[in-house]
Amino acid sequence: MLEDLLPLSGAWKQTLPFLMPREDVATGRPITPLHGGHVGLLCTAGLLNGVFGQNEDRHIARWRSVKHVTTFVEEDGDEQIIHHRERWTNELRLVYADGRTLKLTETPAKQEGEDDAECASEARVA
Amino acid sequence: MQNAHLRLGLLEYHRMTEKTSTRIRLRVDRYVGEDEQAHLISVFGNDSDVGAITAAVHEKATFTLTFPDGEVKEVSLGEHASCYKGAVSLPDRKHPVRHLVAVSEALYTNGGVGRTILLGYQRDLAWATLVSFLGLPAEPSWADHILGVVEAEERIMPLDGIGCQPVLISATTEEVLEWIGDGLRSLVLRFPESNGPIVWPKCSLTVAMQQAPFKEPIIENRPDLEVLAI
Repeated sequence: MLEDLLPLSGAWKQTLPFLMPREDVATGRPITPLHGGHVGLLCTAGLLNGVFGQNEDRHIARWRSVKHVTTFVEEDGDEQIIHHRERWTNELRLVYADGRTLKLTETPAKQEGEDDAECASEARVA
Repeated sequence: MQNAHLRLGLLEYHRMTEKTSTRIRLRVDRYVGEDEQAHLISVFGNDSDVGAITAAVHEKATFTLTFPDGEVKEVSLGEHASCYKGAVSLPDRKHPVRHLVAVSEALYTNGGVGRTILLGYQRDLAWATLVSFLGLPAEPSWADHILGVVEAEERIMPLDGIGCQPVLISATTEEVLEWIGDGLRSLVLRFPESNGPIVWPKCSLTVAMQQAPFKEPIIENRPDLEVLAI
């Protein structure tokens, strides 16, 4: 039937990033030993998510990219110019074995009522 | 096997100008919508009809959608909708069938602002999708407990669907993290025993579309949920 063939079309393949979970764990042996820079890039790309640490510091780490949009209005005589400034940051969420949770970002925590809009990750937008 | 008009929906676009009247009808194999807001429309047909519907989507047009059960709704994808085109070749046809998937802005940013739309509800896949879209540090075996909490809190709402049984899960990253923390503290959730990457089950789009419809859960006497309530 035609309906059975449609899920194989290119249109569905392009919509998969916002319908199905992404497989973003890289496994395998690198051809050269990784140095600190490589590890940092892989971490922030979300390719080294998983379980780390020992004893009370055992935790699950998950990185993701978050787009922040800051909107501000500039007065130009009688006119108002609305600017949207987009910025990508990396965010790390941790959950420890004892139930503690932690969110690490490069920016300090916002005051109440000062939240930026959060959008899809860069990989999903692409 | 049911006839095509009992399996598929019908999307109709009617546009009248001063001199001309255009009426385009295409079959819908998949649809996800919330009242008058369409989130996903998958239609197929010939080149010109699919092209016309694509243009209408970008013009924020309103369509008449007829469901397989005969229900009729006026739906629109709203602003900033996206269109994705494909083609399906059939063995006994000279020209391929054109296929269009149009997606609303809300589905494009699926998982943002604590709203996650799923094509079907099956705990394993729903949990994997939530974890991926909300960016949660989590483990596949936690699906039953966390989604049990989500169901008990009545955060799952069935949506209108054709060819799938979509649901909307309303839960933010912070809320789910809190439920995970509570589960670990009360020892209902087990932390992975060894360090390393977490392997998630793979699932295809076809399987996601073929899942059973979501049913309202029957709240049983669950001691783990009582612990959370305390």
